[in-house]
Amino acid sequence: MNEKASVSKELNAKHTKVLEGLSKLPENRECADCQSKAPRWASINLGIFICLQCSGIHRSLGVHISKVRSTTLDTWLPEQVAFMQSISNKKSNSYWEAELPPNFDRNPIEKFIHSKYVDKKWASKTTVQPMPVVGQKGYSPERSVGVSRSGIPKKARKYSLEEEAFSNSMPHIASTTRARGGSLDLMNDNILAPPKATISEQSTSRKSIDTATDLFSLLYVSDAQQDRSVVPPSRWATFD
Amino acid sequence: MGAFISKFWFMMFPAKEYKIVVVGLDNAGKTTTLYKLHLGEVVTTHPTVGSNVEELVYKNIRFEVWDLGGQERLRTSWTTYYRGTHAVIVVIDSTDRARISLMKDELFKLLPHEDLQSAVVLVFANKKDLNDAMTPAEITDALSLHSIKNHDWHIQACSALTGDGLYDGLGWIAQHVTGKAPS
Repeated sequence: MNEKASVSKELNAKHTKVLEGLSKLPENRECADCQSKAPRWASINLGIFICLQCSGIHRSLGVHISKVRSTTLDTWLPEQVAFMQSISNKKSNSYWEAELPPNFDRNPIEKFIHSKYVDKKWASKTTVQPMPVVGQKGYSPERSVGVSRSGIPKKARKYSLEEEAFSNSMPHIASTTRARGGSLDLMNDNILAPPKATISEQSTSRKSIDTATDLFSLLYVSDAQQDRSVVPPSRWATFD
Repeated sequence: MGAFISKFWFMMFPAKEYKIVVVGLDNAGKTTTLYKLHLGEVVTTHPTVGSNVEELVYKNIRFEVWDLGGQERLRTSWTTYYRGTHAVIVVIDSTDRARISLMKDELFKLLPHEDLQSAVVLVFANKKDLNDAMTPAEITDALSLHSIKNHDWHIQACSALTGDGLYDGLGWIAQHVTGKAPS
């Protein structure tokens, strides 16, 4: 049940690095709520970086609204880091503060945060909340990870999480998209020439697979990027 | 007037002070519990990085209460606070079913510590005012409290927000430490 036990020291160090990098991105450099600089805390279900003060307020909202973790003092699970990568303060606020008047006075900040996340006072009415894509049931990565979490022994999981998550989510996604593609065909493409229809089907299905798995690929793509950026300095260090 | 007399009383007969450490996972309500007991009001808290310490007087007994940070990397520093401890308060978020096993691991990590051998253990099942809160019986099972043999322990449902149950728990500590501790 203690999933964090399966997070190795190396993975943990990597996560810390990824999170540190994320929190320095221009879109995350300010607390998502009070806009103070260099937020070190995060809400793992909203996908935002926040400051210590605001994290205290977030905790008081209850974990069904916001789950607070420290980017430096907590151990993170891979899917949590992946989620943080898929959202940013900017993206999150484009939903939560869509209707917020410019230069709005955020004080008192307790009230502001409560109105923002609990009452959804300024939330966008046209776009979807960034959270449910991953947080709720559906073809979410979290769900497929959940399967692997319960079904596969920790040790195995440690070494092949990415493969597993991938293979678990792939068939699932493939089947849904195929079905969807089929129904689209029936509806629209009766008149179209057959070759054209198959091409469009292929392209749509590939596209939806991409969007569904990109939360995962995001983590590993940027991991790869990070590795590249990390390796040269260490070599230089040895030359020194 | 009463305050003056009690002040005078304590000047004449300095009460022994008992040390309590408050531990628990992050966002369990440790700081809120401490300040509800200390000030009688709910304060706006931030995640505790390090510790808070306050002195409480209850039934003429003085307690020095240390509230320790619950974040994962702060838990390793808990041991540095154990010396001379008479009672450990474990604060549980009764709604946090996902992490109760984590708290069990932490609990059984701290119990064998040599500085805690004579300490009594009080479990505050906090946030009982919330709908999906686990009952004390559920928490007792989840933490396997019955397997604790070397410490007196007690579980008390409470709500740090309303103050419900807090003094019952403190009363239990008062009963047990005064009997035990060398004075």
